[in-house]
Amino acid sequence: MSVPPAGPGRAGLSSLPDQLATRLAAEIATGERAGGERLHEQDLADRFRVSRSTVREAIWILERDGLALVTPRRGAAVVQLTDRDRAELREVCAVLVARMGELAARRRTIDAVRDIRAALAALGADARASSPGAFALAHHDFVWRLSALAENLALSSQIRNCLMQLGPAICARFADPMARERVCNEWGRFLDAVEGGAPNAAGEAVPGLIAGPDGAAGAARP
Amino acid sequence: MTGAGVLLSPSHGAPRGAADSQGRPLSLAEQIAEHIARDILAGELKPGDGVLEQRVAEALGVSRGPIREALRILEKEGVVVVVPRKGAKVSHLEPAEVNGIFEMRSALYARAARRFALARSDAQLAAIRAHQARMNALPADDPSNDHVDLSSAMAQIMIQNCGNARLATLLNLLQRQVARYTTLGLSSPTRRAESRAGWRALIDAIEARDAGAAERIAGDMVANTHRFAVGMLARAQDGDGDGDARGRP
Repeated sequence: MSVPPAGPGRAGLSSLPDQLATRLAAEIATGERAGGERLHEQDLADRFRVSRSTVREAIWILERDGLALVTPRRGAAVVQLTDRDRAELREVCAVLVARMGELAARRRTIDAVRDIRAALAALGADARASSPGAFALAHHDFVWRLSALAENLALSSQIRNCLMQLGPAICARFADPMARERVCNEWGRFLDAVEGGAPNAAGEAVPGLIAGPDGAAGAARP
Repeated sequence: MTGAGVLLSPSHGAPRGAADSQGRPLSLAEQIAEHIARDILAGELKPGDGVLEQRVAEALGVSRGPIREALRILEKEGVVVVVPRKGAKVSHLEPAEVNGIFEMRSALYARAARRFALARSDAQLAAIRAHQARMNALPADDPSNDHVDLSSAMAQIMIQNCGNARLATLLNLLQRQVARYTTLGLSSPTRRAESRAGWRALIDAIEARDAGAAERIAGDMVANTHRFAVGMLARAQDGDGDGDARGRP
């Protein structure tokens, strides 16, 4: 099972390889490290001043989470997704978020919903202020926290994982500030259904960011 | 074969065997992983048990390099946990983790069934019908594992041909993590009768290309297996338990 990435409040607990993997995962998810780019052990060891075995373990974590591909004798590289891969991932992610909504609608507590509303308001403020990459990471963290309402760690980890893999595509959509505000509104409606204790409505309120088609047409649609 | 299940046998179109589902031959490490996974499924290695490299090396006559790689493969699949400098242990799943995986699996499986109902070919349907006929011919008190094997084989045809490779990979990964509980969930004659009835309804829906019904029935089938397995698990933990919590990921 996937170990949850270091989220807020967990950073102090993670090992060196975990921390390095989290750092590299963020670079991959924001597109700073493009698909196909090689992950050289020695270069990374030098840059982050860690041992090669730490780098190797971090790469194993990235491989486990579907962000890197390790080929025997050729080393590791950032996973390169085709359009079809992205469409498949989106579908898996949408199914998981729908299930998360159903479970959250049954298990949420009023206090927890209030905290998530506050987090969503903060994300909304970010939507106007931050860069697409920074907003994408803030958005992933928000979804990670939101998914905790479903009380299913494996599900939360898997959703986070899908979003990280879709990261560069999501970032591209977030280049448009309107798209950032739109996703906040969509999560607001999702949260309404969760708060109302309506599993079916929550299952159907998956944001278009996840459920919608890829490409410029998807990003530009009102 | 004991409780290993046909998930591991190539004759039923399973994800693993001497070759993978695309017919690619398995590497040495993958074959070793296969061997260890079979011991775990058969209950010869229990949750929390150490997987000793030395012992595997002697049993299979292979060096420790590929064994270490095999353990990494199994770790990626959540089957074992590798602790630095201490070696590998069979994962122990807490009841909450088993529940979590089943909750995910039922949603994904339902989607695979929906897709398959729309995408299936007549030949694929015929292959499922042939397995179903064999399942229906099993005696009610059949002591073998054939019901579970045939059920897995039908599920594999559905999953591998659902048209979304990522969905299929994730489903198989989750199945591997909870395979023991799926077997438990199909262990009584009553449950097997329910499972036969579920398959009958599901295959009829698939034949009629009724995506909505296929989705609903498939989700319910996983949920029913889950409910029963959780009951068994709770009873097992009241007894001598399922190992300790140290092996958990």
